[in-house]
Amino acid sequence: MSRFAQAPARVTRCRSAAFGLLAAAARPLDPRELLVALAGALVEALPHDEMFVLLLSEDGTTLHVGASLDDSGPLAACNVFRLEQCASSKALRENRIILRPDLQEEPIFLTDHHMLAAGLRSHLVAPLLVESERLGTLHVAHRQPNFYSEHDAEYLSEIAPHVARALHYAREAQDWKLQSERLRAMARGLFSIGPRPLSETMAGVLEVTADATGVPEASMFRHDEGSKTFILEAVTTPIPGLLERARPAVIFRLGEEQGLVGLVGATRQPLYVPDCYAEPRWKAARPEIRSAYMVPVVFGEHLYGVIRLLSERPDGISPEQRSVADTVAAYGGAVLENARLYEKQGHELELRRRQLATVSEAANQMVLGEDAGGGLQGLVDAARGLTAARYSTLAVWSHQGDLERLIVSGLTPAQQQRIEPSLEELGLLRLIKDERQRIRRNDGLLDVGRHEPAPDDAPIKGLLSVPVGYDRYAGAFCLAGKDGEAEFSAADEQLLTLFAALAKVFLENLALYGEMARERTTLASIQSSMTEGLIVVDARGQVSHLNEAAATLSGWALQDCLGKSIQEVTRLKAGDFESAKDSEALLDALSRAAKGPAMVEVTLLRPQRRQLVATAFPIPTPPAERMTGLLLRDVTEDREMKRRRDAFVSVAAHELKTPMTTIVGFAELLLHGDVPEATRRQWLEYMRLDTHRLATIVDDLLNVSHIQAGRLPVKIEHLDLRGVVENALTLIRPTMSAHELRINIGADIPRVTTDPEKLGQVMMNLVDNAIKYSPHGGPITISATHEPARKRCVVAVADQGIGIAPEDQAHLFTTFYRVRRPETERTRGTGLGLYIVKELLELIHGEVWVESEPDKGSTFFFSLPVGDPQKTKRTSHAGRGLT
Amino acid sequence: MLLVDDEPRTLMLLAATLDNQELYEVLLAGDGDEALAVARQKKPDLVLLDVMMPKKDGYEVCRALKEDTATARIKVVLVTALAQQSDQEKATQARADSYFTKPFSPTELLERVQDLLS
Repeated sequence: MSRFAQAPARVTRCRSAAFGLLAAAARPLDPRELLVALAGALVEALPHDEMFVLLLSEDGTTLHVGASLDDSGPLAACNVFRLEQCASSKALRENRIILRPDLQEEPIFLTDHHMLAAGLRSHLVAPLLVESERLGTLHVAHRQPNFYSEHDAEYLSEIAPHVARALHYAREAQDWKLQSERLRAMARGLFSIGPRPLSETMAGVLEVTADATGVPEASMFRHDEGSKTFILEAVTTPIPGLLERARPAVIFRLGEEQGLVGLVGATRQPLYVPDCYAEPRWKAARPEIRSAYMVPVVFGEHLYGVIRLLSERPDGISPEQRSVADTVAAYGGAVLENARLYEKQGHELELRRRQLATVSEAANQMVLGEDAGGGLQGLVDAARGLTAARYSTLAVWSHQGDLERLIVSGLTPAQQQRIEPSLEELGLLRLIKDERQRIRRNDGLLDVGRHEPAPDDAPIKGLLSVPVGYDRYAGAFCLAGKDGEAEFSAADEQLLTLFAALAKVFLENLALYGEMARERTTLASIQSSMTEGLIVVDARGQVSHLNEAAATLSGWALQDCLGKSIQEVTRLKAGDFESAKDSEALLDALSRAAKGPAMVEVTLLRPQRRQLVATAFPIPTPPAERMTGLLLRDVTEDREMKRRRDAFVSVAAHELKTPMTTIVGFAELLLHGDVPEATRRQWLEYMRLDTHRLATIVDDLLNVSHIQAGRLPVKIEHLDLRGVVENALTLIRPTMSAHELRINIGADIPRVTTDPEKLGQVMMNLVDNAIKYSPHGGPITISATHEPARKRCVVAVADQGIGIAPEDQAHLFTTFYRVRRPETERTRGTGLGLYIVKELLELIHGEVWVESEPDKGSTFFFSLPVGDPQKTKRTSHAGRGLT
Repeated sequence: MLLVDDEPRTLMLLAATLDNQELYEVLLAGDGDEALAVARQKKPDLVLLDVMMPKKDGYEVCRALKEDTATARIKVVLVTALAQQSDQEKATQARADSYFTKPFSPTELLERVQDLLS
């Protein structure tokens, strides 16, 4: 009689324990925790003299033994399922309780050895099955042989399904948890695959598949539509270098029977191979592989590839893993579709980017300025390159219809000549030039090359023309012919429109620059040709411009002044001014200039002494850039002229009034007084002399005025020089007392061609000067030399007087110039004598010059023409003003 | 009375004008230096000075006379060919007592001199 049957109370306890476990199993527990709890509960529920052992396994190895045995270790090591004949296998295979009354009477298996070693003799084994799923076996053993009966077996068979179900639920709950984690991982992985190239995305999808399914080895076979093959794209494997080794070899063909990947691709259905040993090829290549699962990656009609999962485990790839793989593959299809679109879009974007870069490159060349860098050519070249046109042109016509500019890319010079006539023949010139039409035709219209085709030139099909909206000219267009069958697309038209817009900007720039440059050149040449100095000061008070005259007058170089304030420049150049007052006055004028022109006169000592009238004036520019101009006029000459004229007036007044005083004074005395005869005669003589003197001065002044008015008649004669000289000097000889006059004119001197009256005046003046400027007497020598080569005769008048300083020599022959030396103060003169000499000699084609050394004497030379008087034409003598 | 002029005939005229009446003792000088030397030595009552002379001009001589206490009381009449404002100012600056322009009337000159000396 079985102890089970006799103890219904224990059965009840055991049942309740099993149901309690069942309830507990509804919660997701770790299967190990669950088994420990279950085994503990069963051992508790059964009498102490009995043994409960629970063996559970997924893959045939013991997961846990819950036992009242002192040493359950050896039992735990047993792999019962691997032993086909063992009780556990038998129980599961046959789905029934195995009753073994005495172990010693049974065939001994490994497990039994352990049980016997533990002192156990009687043994009951119940299978744990839920539907057809094998969960494990439940073992009960006892030390007494024949302890268990059929009743005990029946009782255990009643409990076992409940235990099995509890375990099943627990595991299922655990699977749900795993699956949800896998799904989460999958979702995370798939979402983390950003917009990347297709191959990278494929590797990403594969990685997610491996992670989410927990299958260590997964491969992605990319489907190549062109060759209809599958190429190993990626592998996740713990085996290093597998992909590299496998890649060239692992290619499957779509629908190929031998290759399951190809089959999956063709059917677009997943395929599970639970036992790979059935595939002899696989077994040979990869003996460790036990099962495989292949799932196609599809989006819509598009087959991206096949994912293959390989497992080494005998229980294969679970339905959950397969389900996860299906889900990943479905999502992966979408992800790959996305990547493909992105890649395609990326290509378009890249193309667009390159186009924009080319356009931008062309635009960059359009720096403001002359088209020296070939900016327009660059534009036309770029337009051609981007539209893949055989040639491109930019044509600009004037309002009169003349071709002003033709920039061509990709045409020979002869072909260029054909463009306009070809367009004309086709009736397109009017449309383009006059009506400014946009043309896109792909019907082989314009082939300027057909008259001179290159050997490999295919006939041209397309023509694209876009107007350049440029008002300055009647019409300006970009043209492009395209090769062979290729047609111009709307995108080409868009591009060309862009180039046309650039060309417009460029052309306008060029025109504006041209105008600006012309204006600038004109302005610059006006400024540089100005005799007045011009300094421009900008709103910040800095010198922004200095023309050549200003630089010459001030001695300030532009580079020294630019960027410096005018105050600073003035301060730096303070030493150039005659006095500090001058520089202050200049700055003051500049500061007042905003209200209107301010004029100031300053004297500069460097680079040479100059009197400048500086006029500061506002330049009418916008207030923000208010500029001030400073005009410098050199009045040194004017002031010198004025000074000389003032001196002349004063000298002339003195010279005129002195004899007048005598004449008037003595006349009054004679009229009023009773004067003795001798005195009267003397006074009259004084009056006569001064009258003569007055007449001479008046003559001089008249001469000057006649010379300057150009009204002096000239009467040229062929004369003996000595005769004229002697004649001229007869008037002057009586007045000479301290001086000896020597005349050395030899017989070899030929006759001169001259006006005797003018020559006489010249002689008189020179001899008179010689006398005046040699106050201590000494000889005055007149000599002559003949210079046949120059057809002239040179006359010299030399004295041994006070001489003339070199700085004075240059001014000697100008009006009103008198050498200022103490000795000359006593001499009387109008400062006109030498001026008259020079002017008279010019009238008779002579020249005058001087050699002199102070305190040694002076020699005045003048030349006279020698030869046929007929050949010596009188040159017209232009009138000139005094100033 | 000292008459100074570098022009001999003008000097003759001045002498004839003033010496005519035999009222004054007349001394003559041909240039500025000579004039100063004579004036310092003879201390005349009046100097009739031509302005435009070589070496020392009339202004300088006048100034020299007026700055020297020994000769400061001597009346100075400047005679010039110039009649501009600036010349008159220069005469005043040189502290001349009177100022005459050429050409002058001998009668008027005599009257002016008599006025100055009375």
